[in-house]
Amino acid sequence: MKRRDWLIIGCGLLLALLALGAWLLLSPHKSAFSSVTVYVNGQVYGIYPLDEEQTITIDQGNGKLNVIRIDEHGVCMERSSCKNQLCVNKGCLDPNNDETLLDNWIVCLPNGVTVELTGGEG
Amino acid sequence: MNKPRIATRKLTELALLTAAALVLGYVEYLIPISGVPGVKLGLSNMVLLYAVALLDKRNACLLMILKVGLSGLLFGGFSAMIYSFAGGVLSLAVMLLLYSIKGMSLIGVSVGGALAHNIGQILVAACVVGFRSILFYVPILMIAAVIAGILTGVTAKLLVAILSKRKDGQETIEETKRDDKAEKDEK
Repeated sequence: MKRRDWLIIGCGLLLALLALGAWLLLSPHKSAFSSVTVYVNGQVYGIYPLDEEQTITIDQGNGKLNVIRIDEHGVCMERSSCKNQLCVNKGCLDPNNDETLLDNWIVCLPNGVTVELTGGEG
Repeated sequence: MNKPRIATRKLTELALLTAAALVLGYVEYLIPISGVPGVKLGLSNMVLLYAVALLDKRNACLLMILKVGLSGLLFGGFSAMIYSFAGGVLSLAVMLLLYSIKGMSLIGVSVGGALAHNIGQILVAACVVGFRSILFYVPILMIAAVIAGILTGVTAKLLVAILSKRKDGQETIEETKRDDKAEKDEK
């Protein structure tokens, strides 16, 4: 391994560090979550209160179907037409769980649907 | 007379490398090494590293396009093809650039390529769902790229060292054969 190789490795780690910093800046702090924001293809699709049990069905008409459930467990992707089912397997985002502060998103990349736990502003 | 022979040989080499890249890609697709989406070893990148080191730029590009197109048709589907195309173009460009820099071994080229590949995929994903929702994965993907890049880089370095020797050996053998034949023909 030569010196310039280390330079590239350093660049990679620096990028990781920068991204980590950006993520820490943008991630929610200890504020209580109160709502769920659903995005379709990067645009806000709707904002729903967390304390109201409901099922949101997003049918994009081209075979892309997502069913999002909000109940006492938090918010989950109940069903998705996508192939990898990563969003469904992720389980529920529980607003009372500390882990949710680290990752407050459910992403369904194939269908372009994302769910964010959003908070009491401030 | 010699031209078509070399073309056939290049064609065979390219076909063989494409097949190798596809098989390695498929093996990877069968055994996901982690639960994190997008994190993989990048085994087929070894073939591209070989191409960067031992083929010319044109053939390396051709190999990348063939690999992305065929694996998209065979395993991934259209949207997966867009992701791997973005990753492929970016990583190949970076690898060719880094390879032309002196004092850089294949390990550095490999790590740079892996980083560029993941950055390409992140950019496409950011176009689809916005940057904020996937920001969480960016540090993970960068660190994974460094680790996987070192591993495939070391392997590719060994591979290229062995294969380039062999390749030269075969070439000299064939050249002597050809020269022999030419001498006979002259007689």
